[in-house]
Amino acid sequence: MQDLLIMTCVRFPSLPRQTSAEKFRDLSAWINRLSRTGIRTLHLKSIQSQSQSWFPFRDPIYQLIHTFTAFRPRASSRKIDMAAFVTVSKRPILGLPFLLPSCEPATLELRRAQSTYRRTKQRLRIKPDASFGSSSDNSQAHIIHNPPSSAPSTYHTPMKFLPPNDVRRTLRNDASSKSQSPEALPSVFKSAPERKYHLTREDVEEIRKLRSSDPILWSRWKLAKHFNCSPIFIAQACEASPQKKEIQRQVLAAVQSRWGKTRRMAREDRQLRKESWGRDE
Amino acid sequence: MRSSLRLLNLEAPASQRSRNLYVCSVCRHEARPRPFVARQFLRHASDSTPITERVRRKLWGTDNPPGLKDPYGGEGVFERKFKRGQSAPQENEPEAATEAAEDAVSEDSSYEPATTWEGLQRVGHLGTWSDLPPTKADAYTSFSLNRRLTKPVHLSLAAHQTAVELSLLHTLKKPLTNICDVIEHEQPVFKLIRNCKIQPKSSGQWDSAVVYPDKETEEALVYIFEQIGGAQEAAAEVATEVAPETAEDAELAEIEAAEAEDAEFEEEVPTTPSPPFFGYRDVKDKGYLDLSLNDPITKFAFLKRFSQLTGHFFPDPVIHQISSVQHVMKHVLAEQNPKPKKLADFLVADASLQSLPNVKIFAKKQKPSHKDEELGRKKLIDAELRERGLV
Amino acid sequence: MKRLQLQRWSSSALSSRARTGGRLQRHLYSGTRLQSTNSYSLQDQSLGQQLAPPSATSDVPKFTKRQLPSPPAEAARESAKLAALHARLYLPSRLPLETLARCLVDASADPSAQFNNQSLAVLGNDLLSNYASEHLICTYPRLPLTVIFAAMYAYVGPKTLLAMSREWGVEHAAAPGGEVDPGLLQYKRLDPGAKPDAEPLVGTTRPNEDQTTWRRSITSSVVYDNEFGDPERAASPPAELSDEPFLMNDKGPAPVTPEAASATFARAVMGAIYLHAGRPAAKRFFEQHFLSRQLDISKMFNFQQPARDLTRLCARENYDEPVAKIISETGRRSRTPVFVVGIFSGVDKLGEGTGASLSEARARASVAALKGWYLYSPLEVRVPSAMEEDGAAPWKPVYVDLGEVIV
Repeated sequence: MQDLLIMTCVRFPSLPRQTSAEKFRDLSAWINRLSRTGIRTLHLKSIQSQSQSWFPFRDPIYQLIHTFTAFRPRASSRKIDMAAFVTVSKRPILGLPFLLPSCEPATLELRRAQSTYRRTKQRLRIKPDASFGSSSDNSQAHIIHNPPSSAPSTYHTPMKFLPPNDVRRTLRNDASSKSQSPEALPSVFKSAPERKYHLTREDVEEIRKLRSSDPILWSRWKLAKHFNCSPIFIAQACEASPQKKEIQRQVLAAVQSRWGKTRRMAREDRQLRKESWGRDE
Repeated sequence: MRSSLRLLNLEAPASQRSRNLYVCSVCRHEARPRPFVARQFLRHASDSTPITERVRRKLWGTDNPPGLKDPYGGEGVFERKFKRGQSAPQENEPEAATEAAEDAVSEDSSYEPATTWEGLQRVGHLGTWSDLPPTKADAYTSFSLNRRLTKPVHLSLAAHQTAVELSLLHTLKKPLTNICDVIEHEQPVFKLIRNCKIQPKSSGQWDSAVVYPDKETEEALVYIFEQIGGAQEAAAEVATEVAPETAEDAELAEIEAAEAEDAEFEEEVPTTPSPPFFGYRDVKDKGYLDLSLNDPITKFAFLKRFSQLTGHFFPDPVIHQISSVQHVMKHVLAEQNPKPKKLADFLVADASLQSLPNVKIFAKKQKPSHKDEELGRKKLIDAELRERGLV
Repeated sequence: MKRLQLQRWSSSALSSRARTGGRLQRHLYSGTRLQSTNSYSLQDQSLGQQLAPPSATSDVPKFTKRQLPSPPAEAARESAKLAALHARLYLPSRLPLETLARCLVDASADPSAQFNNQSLAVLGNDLLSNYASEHLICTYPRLPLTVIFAAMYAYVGPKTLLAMSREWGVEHAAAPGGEVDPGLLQYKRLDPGAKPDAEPLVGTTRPNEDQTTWRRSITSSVVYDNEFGDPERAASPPAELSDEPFLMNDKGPAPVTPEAASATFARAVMGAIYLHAGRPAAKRFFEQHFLSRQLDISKMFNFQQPARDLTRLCARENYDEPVAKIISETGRRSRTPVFVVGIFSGVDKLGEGTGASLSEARARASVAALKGWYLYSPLEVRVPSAMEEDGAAPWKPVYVDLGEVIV
């Protein structure tokens, strides 16, 4: 079992001993059951300094149970690195110094024994990550789901592609999709393509006439520059004459005939790799 | 010259020359006479006293040891016979044998040697045995009935009859094997026996285990079995006298009515050989099965009588294992249905396999040719062989 | 809805073999024909000559099993292989062993339509393609046609059926014949080295099939071709399926490949289940044996120009134009850079892809966005055949898409 399951329990003298053991057993059973399911990180930082709840486990555990049963993931057999921490924040202990000598950390299942209490506490002192949620509602128990970084599944239809009457539109809250604002992200291309739509029908006729009059002189690039449009538009508007195509083919063959084995193979491999993008391999 | 003759010619000098053939050293050594054996012979030949006498002398330490002259009983039978044969070689051998036996046994004072053959007991014949009149020893009566009963009904009837007879004899304190003198009872007697029941008192005891249907049957049976071992004719006579009386009994009439068809069948066809036990049905009483056969005499008597009635004989290991009548019946019935010798027969008889549709039992071993046939390959092979003229 | 009397209807598809004496009577009548023609193959000629002329009396003439083209019906009860196959497939007990034996006789083994599995296979093929296509279209309503054809081939194509019959443990006979165990798949094998599809298929359902240079659109294959988008031989006229096996063709039946024979067998099993056990059992059989096979449809796509397709799609659906944005990157100046590019339409992210170059990451992101579009699946998938069950809920129309993106 790869899990790092550290559970620290602070036993207080005011608590009846039997009750403490009972709760302890309860807690360990639930942590075990959780570890068999798919929850990755369980951060339980709810054992707080509220002085009225000196039962260390009652409320958070039962809240944990409720949240767990509500969001039970589908049964999966894969092994999951799971870390379940029951952290006891420093404040109650420091704030109540008369309790300190009787406090003893009891580890349920410890991967490596910490030699001192200080080291144990140091290990457990985790800086709350940004993804752990806002710190405003840390009085409640909540589950933190941090999936490993991987490409999203293609079976997961984006919300924009869902039909308007699909239930998933309402189910999905917009927290996940709105996490990245596209305005803040840099673009792939240096400049965004600007579409001008300034050419008229006469211009297109002119392009065709020029191209057919002298295909050698009026190449695509030249036409594009002359009419201030993209060469792709020139290709869409007109087609080169067969003679020009043949000349271009011969030029290409002449260039390719000078390629060596390495370059030819590299070009072919590049073409094959490009084709594999479309198959998503 | 024929080859055989040539061979003969070749053989003859070879046999003559055999002395010069090579003999290995071991064989030569083996063939050499042992020198110390020769010395013993020499020494014993020179001595007049035999070796036994010399041993005696050595043991006692004197030249005249006490005791008999010959402590080993004198001359043996063969030595004496040999001596006599030397003296009178013309005598008949059987007479010599009897004489030798006689003088060994006793000397009868009234014995008077015969001078002529008249009046002497005659043993054997001189060639024409068929002219001799039959004697009592010539008549052969078989021990059993020369039939082997196979039906379970007959077997249990025989066991019941045997049990009743033996327990009767137990009660009468008579030798048990006497009953074997009566190979088959008359029908009325058998009916009486059949109507008896067996109720062993405790742990398979034979004594007074018979329960009679009524007093008259008991008297008749006791009377009959008193005769057994004596004159069988008297017993049979009595049985014929007793039978009509008992048959008039109401009870018996009832039973007879129940078995009317059997009886009628028997009366109508008297010429056919009678069915075993006169065609009676099985006995309902199963008490005889509990009788114990731990007593070896009883066991022997029971098995002998049972073998006589049914024709089943028991090998020694089985006899050793048998401890009650139940065992006997089990063995005999198991003999009736022997285990199949082939595995296929055994499997075919298995009912649990017959219900399985995906199990197929073949009587013969499946060979590759069967597999070819099943796959349809065989006709292709045949056709190819035929085409090439190989078949 | 009342249950249909399938048994009564099925008399045309089921042979007379299950009835008593059918086969023998048939051979009585066809015995003379047997001698006059040259229908038997080479290895059977010597046997055919030994055949005594059948007597007109009621006595059953002595026919050896070898003279039959396929095993007689009585042999089905004795075959352990057949019973084992029946039990292994967990077939309903209403499907008798004789029908299963008939499913194993290909038309190339026994040309008689009353004894081979052709009629059952036609029925089973229709059922299979119906169930598979309705499952595909209702589960993924936006799939392009080429992907649907490929998925159909993957679900109920002949290669899949061959693999399934291998998984079922069906063994193949070396040559068909009456003496062969009925539990073996019987068909006339191809000669070694022969190519099954050497000559082009003629007599298809497609018009103008002689024009080989004409373009065949994918849409036209919906109309003309079979369920896999392949050209299909036109259905044979009914005269060819008549009960005249030995007069039909002088050459005898054409040999088939193991793939074709296994596919015909699997379809015939489906048809036989439908005929004997009814529609629910047939559907259950389909779900247990065909739909349970894992098929990753997302691997079936092949986009030539994904970015262009996505632009066209967004234009068609009136979405904002897709924009590629770098979500994260690492090692731009190194030998192995990794870019994560997302395609955004407005503020919504459509897809995300990684690549060693920006163009690769953008292409992959476009592919992911297109797959996200095409692989949309409704939450509650209900197929039209679910309405055939008793007490089915009223039908709600399924989602119908506009169709694939055409550039």
